[in-house]
Amino acid sequence: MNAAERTRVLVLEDDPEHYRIVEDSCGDHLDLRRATRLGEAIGMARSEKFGVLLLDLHVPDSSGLETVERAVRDIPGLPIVVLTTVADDELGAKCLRAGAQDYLVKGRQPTRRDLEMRSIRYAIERHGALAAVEQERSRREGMKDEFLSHVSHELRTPLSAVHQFATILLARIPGPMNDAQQEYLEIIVRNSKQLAKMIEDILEVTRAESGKLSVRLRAVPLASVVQEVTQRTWNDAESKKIHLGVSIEPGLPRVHGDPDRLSQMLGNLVDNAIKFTPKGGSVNVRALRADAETLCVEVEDTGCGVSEENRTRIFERMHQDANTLEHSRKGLGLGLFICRELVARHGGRIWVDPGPHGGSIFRFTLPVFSLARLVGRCVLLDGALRPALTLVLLSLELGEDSDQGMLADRSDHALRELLERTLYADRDLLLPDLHAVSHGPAFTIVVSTDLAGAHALCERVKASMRVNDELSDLVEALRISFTTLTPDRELAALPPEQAVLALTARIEAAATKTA
Amino acid sequence: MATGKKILVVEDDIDVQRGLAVWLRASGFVTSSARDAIEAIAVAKREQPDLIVLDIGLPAGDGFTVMERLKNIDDLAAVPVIVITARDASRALPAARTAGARAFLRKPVDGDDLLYTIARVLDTP
Repeated sequence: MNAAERTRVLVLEDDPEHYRIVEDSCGDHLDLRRATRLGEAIGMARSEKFGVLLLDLHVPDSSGLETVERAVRDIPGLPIVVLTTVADDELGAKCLRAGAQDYLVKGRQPTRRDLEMRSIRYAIERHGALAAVEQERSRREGMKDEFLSHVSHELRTPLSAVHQFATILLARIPGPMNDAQQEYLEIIVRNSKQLAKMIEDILEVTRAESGKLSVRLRAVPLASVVQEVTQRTWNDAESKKIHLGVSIEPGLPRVHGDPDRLSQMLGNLVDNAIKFTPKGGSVNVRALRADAETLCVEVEDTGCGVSEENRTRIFERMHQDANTLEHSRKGLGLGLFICRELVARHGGRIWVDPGPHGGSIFRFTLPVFSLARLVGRCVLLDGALRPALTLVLLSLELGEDSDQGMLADRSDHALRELLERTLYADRDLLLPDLHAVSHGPAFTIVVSTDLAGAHALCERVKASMRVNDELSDLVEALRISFTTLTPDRELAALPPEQAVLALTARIEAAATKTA
Repeated sequence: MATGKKILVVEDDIDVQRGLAVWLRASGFVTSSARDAIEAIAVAKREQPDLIVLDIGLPAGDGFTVMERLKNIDDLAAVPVIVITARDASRALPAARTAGARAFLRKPVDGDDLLYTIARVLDTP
């Protein structure tokens, strides 16, 4: 067999003894290339084509599961077989979850060459099959998104003309009109708005299904959301002579939510309540505490109510309650589905109860904002503080040009996306904006690594910025500062929960100071 | 009321374009119109508008192309552009900003919103 026909294999193995074992068992059948560091392997994989990567978990520049995670992320498209020294099924399973195709135990005697060859071949085939399935799925998904985006565009244009000319007449630009003409035009405008809302809803559902429903969580005072929504819906209630009541429990803590999404959810519920409540009825919006960690929002109406068998089904996609047929037009039945998806992304739940005098009460819960809980999720590992933690403050120092507002907005969005891709979801933490006012884009991040690791992370961020259309000009404007948070003796002596609280206080102090 | 300021409306749908022009003329603006990217540049050169209302989805090159070309024409480079589009805003908004649009309106465009936005853009050079 000549080299050209043999599968080319990249072996990441720093121990010469172990590499010799691999060479002995597979060298005749495979075209082996060796790397001793992960960085080197990544470089080789980017410049040459390999069929598979055999990877030792412990190399000088990376160790453990992280080696697999980084290889999966930095060399997409290359099947990975992990080499381990001990038969540890749990570790093997973790490697597979991290994206490896298989794992082999090194130096097992006698060497089962046939098994190892089979494992390598299997890894290549399985990876190929998965890639093909994934490619097909994303192609179909892309076609569907494109179709819906196209349809919504085409629908909006004629709708745009209808809305415009109706409002031109209502504004009496061409001349006066009588009361009946005005009333009929108002009906046209109201219906064109409904149609526009339906098109929006269809797009939202497409986003929900492709996982693109974006939710940006921060600390939000619920009262401001409730007030904004009730002000916006006041006129609709007024025109049906419906009493719109609001009550907000005093002293409520802020919730962990996306203010725009919260307003969209509550707006949907209040719109529904007004729609299904007969003239002269009432709609009450309440915000209250459910327990120490949860707030609850209620929308009570005196409408037709929801039958028992429909109480869960109305939150499903395209569901229509048969009851509502005679009361009003149906709509697409997407509003409550969108609410449910959004509530779920906030970590809450939504349900409906019958009202005390007929009608219904829609309730949804939201978690109270707690920096300590977020910090705890990132800094604790198996119930103990991680050994190394660093606080990183990244900010962009933008020039004083007139367009700064727009530039700041655009770069804030782009840099946030880049950071979200670069950080580890389970052990790094991008803090939500702690301050109401921020001067230009600024991000505070807790990373579970030491100063050297934090420096390396920032280098990676800069490298990604250089190849990003919106950020490549701003690499020089990036300001970075580090504060080490590595637990000292005082923190280490505390029980984990108190240690998290103390650490949170330090993070808050450091973030406020550096900001 | 704006008196005699010139606004170019670039929109391929004839009805939507007329509707926008009716709003603008009723408020005292002088309007001109174009229906594709090439015509947009030609009319802009001829009319020297004070502001351009620009649709993104156009034949013969989209609204972004128009903005690029305007930037390279000396006496038009500084004319403020308000983008209107029916495209999914989350994608179109950053792109419109990058291209240098001063404001952004989504279809269906409300007459009052349009007039308010124009007043704001014309007031802040």
